[in-house]
Amino acid sequence: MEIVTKKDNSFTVFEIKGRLDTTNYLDLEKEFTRQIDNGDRQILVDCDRLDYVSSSGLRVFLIALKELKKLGGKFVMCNLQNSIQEIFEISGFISIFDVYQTKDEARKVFNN
Amino acid sequence: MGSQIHTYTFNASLEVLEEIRNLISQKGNEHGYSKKEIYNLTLAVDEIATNIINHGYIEKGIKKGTFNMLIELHEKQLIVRLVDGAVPYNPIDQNLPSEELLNTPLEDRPIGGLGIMIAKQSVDEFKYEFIEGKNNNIFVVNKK
Repeated sequence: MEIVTKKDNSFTVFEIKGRLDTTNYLDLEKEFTRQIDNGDRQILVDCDRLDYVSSSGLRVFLIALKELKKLGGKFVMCNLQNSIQEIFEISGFISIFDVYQTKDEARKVFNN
Repeated sequence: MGSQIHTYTFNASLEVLEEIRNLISQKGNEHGYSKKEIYNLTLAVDEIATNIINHGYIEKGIKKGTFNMLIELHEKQLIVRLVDGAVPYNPIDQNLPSEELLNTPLEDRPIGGLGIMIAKQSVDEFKYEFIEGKNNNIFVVNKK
């Protein structure tokens, strides 16, 4: 897994590439925590190149979402591959996350 | 084609998950299963193998534990069987998040049980058997 973070106006984009599973989910959790501790309140996760997520990875997304919600922030996801979309549906995550098909649609959610 | 059974032994450590996925992908590919079927099967096995390694061995302080994986290739089915000698644990018995629970506010939802639910829904059949003192977690994919 590779995580690339980019500032885009008022929000931070997380590009997650490769496999997110039980061997590396803590790396992503740390990165979310670091950005939130630095004051980021609007996060967009771009899953275009995310190939695989296990439940450990789903938990990290859930933790970040909860944390940002508590702080009045926003946690938005986009570009889910079909296989990942399916996991979101199976787990019920699809109804609790803000998921958009494209980055352009997702970015409209954020306050500038 | 007759049936084939491949048996592997792994150390109870999270590093082996990659090899497990690779072996399943390789055998599934060779025998004509679709990318999606293989993906879902590897996800299911990944979830349960993670639980076995973490809860069955690492959290119990068992350092040199091993477990087996059998890949069974039948004419109409691909079956993966994880066999471990850790404490008896039947994942099917565990309470899965109900529809009701999934609809409760996020803040009030417990986070456990997710991997088992994913495993159950990712294969045609997910079974547990306790055979000769060992946990058998069995994942069945039917050839379409």
